[in-house]
Amino acid sequence: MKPLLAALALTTALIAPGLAAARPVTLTANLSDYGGRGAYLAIYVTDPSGAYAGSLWMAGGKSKYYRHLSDWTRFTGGDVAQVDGITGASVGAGGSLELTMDLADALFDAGYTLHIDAAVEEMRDSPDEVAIPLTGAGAGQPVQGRRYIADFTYAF
Amino acid sequence: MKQALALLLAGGTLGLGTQAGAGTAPAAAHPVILEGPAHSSAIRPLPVVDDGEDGGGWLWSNGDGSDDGNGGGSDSDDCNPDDPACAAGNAAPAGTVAPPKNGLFTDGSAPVVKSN
Repeated sequence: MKPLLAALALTTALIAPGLAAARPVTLTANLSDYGGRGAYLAIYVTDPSGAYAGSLWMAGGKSKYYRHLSDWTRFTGGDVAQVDGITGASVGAGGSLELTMDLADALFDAGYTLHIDAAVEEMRDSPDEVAIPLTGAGAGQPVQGRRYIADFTYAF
Repeated sequence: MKQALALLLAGGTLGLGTQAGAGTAPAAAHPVILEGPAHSSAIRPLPVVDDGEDGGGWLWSNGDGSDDGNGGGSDSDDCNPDDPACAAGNAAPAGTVAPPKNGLFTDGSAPVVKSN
């Protein structure tokens, strides 16, 4: 019996940290009625030094428009591989985008910042439409975008 | 739309030409050649006056007034999305390949998206 308990304790000790290393996070962006076509949104993260850490989502499927997401393009060189498998449709005016994903715990309260670049056809580009530090205290607190996003929230 | 813009530009050019010629001998009439609308779908960045609010000072236009990125939250296109040549160069849509291993996601987990 004791060897069984020891094995159980050992496997729990090995597995638990892995489970605790990520948490489901829901990102919600509600767009304003800006009166234009669907918005392209690049959602990405920078590390404490301000360097690009990676992309979380790309709303908008045509890479020919990505250059209008100018900060994301500056960080990535427009490399579409950065958003392979995490790309969906653009988001219409007045619409919303809700994403649920398992994000690494290490991103929170560690100086990482979530950014959203936005662009709409025949309207002004909006790099850094949203820039919000990833913190536990900031979860559930809506922030306003600069031009196209009425509010953005991340929640655990 | 392009024709209207071309006419507007031509009118402005002719008007300016008249003003510039005031007080001088009338300029000889010469033909004005207006190009017809280009049928290219190439993206044409159009510079606008920057109001200093941000670094962006560009509009985008796909040149033919098509409904790319329409307001309905989907990406219509002027080519068949089932045509591999149409999607060439675009990112792989969610669900077709695994997310990138960038250390942000739990490996193997894919974001779940709702959009309206």
